[in-house]
Amino acid sequence: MSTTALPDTGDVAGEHLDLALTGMTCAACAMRIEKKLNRLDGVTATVNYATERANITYNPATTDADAMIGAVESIGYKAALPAPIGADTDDPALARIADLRRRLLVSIAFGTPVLLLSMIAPLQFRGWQWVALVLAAPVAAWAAYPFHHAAWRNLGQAEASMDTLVSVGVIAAFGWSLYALCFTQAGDLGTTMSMSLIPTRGDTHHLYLEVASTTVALILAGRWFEARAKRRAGGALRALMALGANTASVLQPDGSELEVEASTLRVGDRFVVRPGERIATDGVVEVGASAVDMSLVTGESVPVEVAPGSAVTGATINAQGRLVVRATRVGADTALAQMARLVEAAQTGKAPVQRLADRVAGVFVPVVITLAAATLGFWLARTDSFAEAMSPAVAVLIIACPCALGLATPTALLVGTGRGAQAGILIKGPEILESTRQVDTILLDKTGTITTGQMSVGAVHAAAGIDATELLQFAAAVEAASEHPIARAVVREAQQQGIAIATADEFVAHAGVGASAVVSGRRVHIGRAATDECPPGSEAMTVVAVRIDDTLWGTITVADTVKPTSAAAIQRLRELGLRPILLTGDNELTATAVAHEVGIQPADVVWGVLPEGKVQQVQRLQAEGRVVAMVGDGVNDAAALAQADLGIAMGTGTDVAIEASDLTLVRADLHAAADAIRLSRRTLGVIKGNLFWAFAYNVAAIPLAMSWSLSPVVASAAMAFSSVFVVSNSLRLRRFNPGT
Amino acid sequence: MHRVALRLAVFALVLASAFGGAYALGSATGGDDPAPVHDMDMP
Repeated sequence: MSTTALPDTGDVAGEHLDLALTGMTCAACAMRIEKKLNRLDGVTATVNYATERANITYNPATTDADAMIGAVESIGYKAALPAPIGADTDDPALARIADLRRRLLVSIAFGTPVLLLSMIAPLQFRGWQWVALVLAAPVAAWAAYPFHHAAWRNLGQAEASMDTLVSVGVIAAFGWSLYALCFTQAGDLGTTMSMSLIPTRGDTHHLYLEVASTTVALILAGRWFEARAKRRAGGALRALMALGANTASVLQPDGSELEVEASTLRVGDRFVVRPGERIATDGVVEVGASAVDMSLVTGESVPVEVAPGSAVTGATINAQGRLVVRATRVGADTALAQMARLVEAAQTGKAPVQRLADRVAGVFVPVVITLAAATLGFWLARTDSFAEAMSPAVAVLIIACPCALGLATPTALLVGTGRGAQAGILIKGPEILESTRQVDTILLDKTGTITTGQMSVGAVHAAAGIDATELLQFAAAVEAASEHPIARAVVREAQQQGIAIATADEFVAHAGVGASAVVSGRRVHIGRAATDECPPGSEAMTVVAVRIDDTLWGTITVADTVKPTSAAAIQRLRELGLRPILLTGDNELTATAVAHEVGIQPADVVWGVLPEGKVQQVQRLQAEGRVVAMVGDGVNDAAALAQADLGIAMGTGTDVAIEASDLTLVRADLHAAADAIRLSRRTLGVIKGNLFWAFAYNVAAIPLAMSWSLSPVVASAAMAFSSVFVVSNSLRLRRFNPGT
Repeated sequence: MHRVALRLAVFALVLASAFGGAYALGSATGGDDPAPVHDMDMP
């Protein structure tokens, strides 16, 4: 159970609790559960539909977990205390996908013969209608059960959604067919059903079994596709917690080392971190000096030098020397755990998105039922026969349930995501596309997004009378033995210049200071340059000094380089009506230098921000009424990516960032971000168009149904046309052209 | 709970008046109804 005491906020003394929820089918469900929980005494709750979590602050004196679970279950959903963060929590989502798949397969297997029998008269053998009934029954009852269940739950709240529309349509179609078979000539053996264009006024025994089964199959297919897309959303926390070290080598009083689970570390324990290992938990260096890759927390690409007394963060990587660290924070108090909470809070705090289709259905369903009642009343007065008057009333209910609705969102997403994948853009959740109205601001992380995130040599400054190539040759010979990112940049530069790298002897790495070795009989020392040794204009870069036999031969400047496409891509983002803002954990000098290079205004540069600072920046802009996209790649961007209206992760980035985002760019190129924004705008446009036309054809057919002039052919044609239209409208997305 | 009951009651009222109104309209405009035809071919 993840119960932790909240910091004292002064007013509510509360405990914090998360509940894992199951059974939600739309954002309206999330709002309903939220309302129910908030009615409990002393409870403040937010419910996230995407992660299926309720985030609750409660007063333990007035209520407890059981009462809250009971409250959720009283309105027809299931709640449980969640498995610990990082545990395999996939099961409910996987079970839901498997369940949808089973129902879909059954509805296809049983529904297809029903459709063929009903549409093709020559196939109608003696007694076919009873076979069709038997085949359609499991589809209408079992496969469509999730819709009936959700509709029933909605009724209890006096609300209606897509589920209600489907359920009413299926029950009307199947129920009417059952009635017609049992009580009219339609059930007589040898009766066939031909499709006729003549209006069928007075027809009380047309069967709608194919409508019942086809609708269920189509809508289940849409749900299945969406459920598969949604499942990936919960992965950010698992990926984040997987970053932590699993084990730690605890130093015993006798000097020996004992390998223990990292989770069992206690404050005050001293543990050893070897080069290349992750630091097990937050602590203070007691012995040793090294460079630590802190990009996890700061996003900054240059490793931070640490020495005794320096604070280090758990899950960051020790790049060079052996360290002995004393643990200062463990478990839920560590920086990594705080980051996990930030990501989760950003995901949970997001306003639930009500699906477009559900919003439309909320109004459409009561109107249709009212029209059906009016139709029944009118024809009852005209015919004096309840059975006859039911026919047009049922037709209204059936025609109002558009098959194409089930296709509207999934087909657009299928084509949009497929085209996106070809262009290197992976779209994760469908909900986000619907909610991303008009993004007007785009926050860009610096390292790995605008820049390559890789150190490279900017310039080699040789002292007077020294050959720059010779200088680089000596430096590369020493650095070839080191794993430091700066060393690797120097070696890469030498290789690119075609310089043969000599062998170095007596290599010594001076952790945090530099390295030295003997090359061709001369002692070469490479280390950080003193301020007066730095060439002008190198303030935003890292400068190393090369000394040979204690004489300064020159300096090499190393910096994270801006990607060649970044400036043009940022210009394109501007043309899309977006305001680009640079956001970085790096220092002011580096940040403004990069911003200048890519054409971002100095006023739009935010530097020195930590992960929570990035989230705050996103929240601040959102509070100003802006719709914010965030592009990032690092673990430190994850929470901001989750908080943003549209999170875009670089595919070259960390799993955590990719999991927390809505879109992933396979190409590590900002042009892809501009393409992604255009594609998501186009996809949303197509979804809206699809929803409109899915309803429009059917709405147009309602007056025909009411006036008893609706022939089954027109009804089928309306369904077929709207489905064909929706599919071909979605296919237009295939022509989406990136880079224009 | 009261709110839900109220909403359902209002909806039931709307349904009843739609039904009643349409019934009245049907009665007022009622004339000769054509004999029922159907698209089922009898054995």
